[in-house]
Amino acid sequence: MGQNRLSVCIDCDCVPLVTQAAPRQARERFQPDAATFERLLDFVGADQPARRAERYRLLREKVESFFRWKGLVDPAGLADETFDRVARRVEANEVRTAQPHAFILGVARMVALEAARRDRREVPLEEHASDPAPANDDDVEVRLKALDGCLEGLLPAERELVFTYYRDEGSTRIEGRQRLADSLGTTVGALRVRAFRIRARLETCVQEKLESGQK
Amino acid sequence: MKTGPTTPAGEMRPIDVDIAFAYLLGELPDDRASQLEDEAFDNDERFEELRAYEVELMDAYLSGELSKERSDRFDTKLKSDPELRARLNTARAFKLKVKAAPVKKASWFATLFTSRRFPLAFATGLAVAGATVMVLWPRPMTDSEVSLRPLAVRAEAAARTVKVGKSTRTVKLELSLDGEPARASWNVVVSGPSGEVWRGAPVKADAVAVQAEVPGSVFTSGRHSIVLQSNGATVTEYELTIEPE
Repeated sequence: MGQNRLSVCIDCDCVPLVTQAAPRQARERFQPDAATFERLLDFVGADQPARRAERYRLLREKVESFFRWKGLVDPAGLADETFDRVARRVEANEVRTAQPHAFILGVARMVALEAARRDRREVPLEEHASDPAPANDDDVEVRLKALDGCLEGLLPAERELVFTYYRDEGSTRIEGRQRLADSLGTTVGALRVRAFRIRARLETCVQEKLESGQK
Repeated sequence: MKTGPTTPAGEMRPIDVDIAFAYLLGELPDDRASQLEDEAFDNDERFEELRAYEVELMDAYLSGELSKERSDRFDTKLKSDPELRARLNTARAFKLKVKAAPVKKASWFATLFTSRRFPLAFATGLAVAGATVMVLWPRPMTDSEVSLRPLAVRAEAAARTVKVGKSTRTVKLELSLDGEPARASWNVVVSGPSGEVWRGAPVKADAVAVQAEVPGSVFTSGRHSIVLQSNGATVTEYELTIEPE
């Protein structure tokens, strides 16, 4: 964050310019004190105390996803910034709303606008120059090994479902998924989410194995 | 026109795949994108649905199913998102794993009832069975409820009650082989409450169904099973309850 990076200017009619960009301002991590965090949990609207942390976790996931879907750099950092701003407003008793989710989304949109302006000003040169999605065989190989271990952690029925759901491609996909949904007595929409939950667990498991150095 | 996230019945209306991909690739007009975001923040199911489409977008990219324009847009996202690049490699690994996994062939039982062709097959079978009944049975035996076709039995996923009286000369069974691998020969065996009551001669079947004509006299009141065998092994079994006419 704090170091100079080669950048090109792309939001003006300038000739591509290789320059030493000004260092991006480092974002402070969102680290509220316990009392502020408690108030934030109250604010996110979980009526049952036991569910407050879970509600916050899910909301945070939504905010991060929102920034990711917008194609912004550093979604986690932007989520920190969002909750930091929300916490400050809550702390100052400035928020009166029955719809905390909508309020948080509103703040996230503001943060997104500012971040988009920043991102437009500075796009690292190497990100433009690189092949967007080179198939890194070594990395895929490592993930394959990790995936083996993660698949073992699934129930046979879950494994079968996730393989069957994601197997079909192209023209056979729609019919294949409809058939699977029918056989399970559910809708394709519900099946999509069901299969995704299993796949998301696999993805998280692979990532955790890689981070912990287990193959 | 704006469409709400729920149907008139209050159920969640699924997002169309094209709309979801357009949103995730930044192609949707702002107002429609904002609407989706509002829904995702307000409704956990909607949020999960969009996340599911994120994965499917990666798969479509890897399979080369995206249009050139969309593929280029995805490339642009990849350039600026190292996390997406890592996730794409996990998706590649997952895809390899799925392709390598043996395909568990659905039983013909399951295939038949989950196929979209089933209604047509069912209607055709019913018509054939009805016509057969009309032709083979003497007039007094016009028992319209004799649709002993296994299709009908299985369709109800429970024992089906059929009236068979003394005037019933023949019950024609038709056992569909849709989805079954080819085998040398087939047998149909009927068992009643006191054991096996009828066994058909082996039939060579490379067609879509095995047909058997069972004398009505073999059926007594009570539960019967109709077993489709191949080389002495049971392939599938249906239940049928016979009631006196």
